[in-house]
Amino acid sequence: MRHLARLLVQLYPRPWRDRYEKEMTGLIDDAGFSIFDAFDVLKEAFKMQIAQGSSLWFICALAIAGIVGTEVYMLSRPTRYVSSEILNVRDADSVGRAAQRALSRADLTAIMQRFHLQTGEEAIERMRYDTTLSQVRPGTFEIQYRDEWPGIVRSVTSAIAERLIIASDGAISSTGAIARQPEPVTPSYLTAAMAGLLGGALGGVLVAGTRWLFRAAQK
Amino acid sequence: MAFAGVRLGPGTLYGAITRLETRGWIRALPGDERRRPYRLTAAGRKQLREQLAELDRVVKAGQQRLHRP
Repeated sequence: MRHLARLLVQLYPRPWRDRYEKEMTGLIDDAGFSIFDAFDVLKEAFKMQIAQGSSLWFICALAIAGIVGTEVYMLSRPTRYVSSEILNVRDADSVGRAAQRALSRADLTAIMQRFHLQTGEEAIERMRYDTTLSQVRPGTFEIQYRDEWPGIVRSVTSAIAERLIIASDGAISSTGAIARQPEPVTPSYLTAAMAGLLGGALGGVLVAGTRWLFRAAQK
Repeated sequence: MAFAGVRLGPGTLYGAITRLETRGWIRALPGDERRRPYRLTAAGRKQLREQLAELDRVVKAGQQRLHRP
């Protein structure tokens, strides 16, 4: 426990350690160190860093916290699957109109009811968000749908493709080709880490800036 | 570590010592680097007196409340 105590004391700002480190470790050596004390030292070291720590420490600490936070979030998210179908399009101008009709509240609600999915405004918005329609090459489009259940992903992709074909009045037809059977969407851990790093560092800059302004106002 | 019946962790204790010394209410006396005694300064004594007077007022108000029918 004493090794842990010495390690935790290193979390205090350098000027503080120059003044109090020997006294504090002397006290810990004499009085002992429990897990309660470890949390106590950790909490106070953090408070001391806020009060006296360098701006660089803030930026680095919050950037690391940002990376850890986003990665934990990514790992805790359920696996999502994606499926897609390829469609022939005779008239590209009609795709927008057909997509609007196929993704209308009524059509999506019908799909949800058919596969016993949760309905409602939020679910409709989520289904729209999880559906993408993109041009692969002239005359060929790919419709993609993402969700947490592979079986549902395949069925919903087919159902939306079917609605698109009906809504296009013959301008869109099925190729019968499934571009992708349901497969897990690999989350981009690197992108998440970069976002966490940038977000955390930006947070650190804001905290350090606020602290600087606060100190300047006090002077 | 306990002070006046309150358990203090080393972090809390040294957080308090840092604040008291920064405000000029205590002063470290020469001594062993690992066991340093502290003494109240004149400003610290004044502050302590004011704090005790304030606490005394709170205690008296509480006792009056208790004895009121």
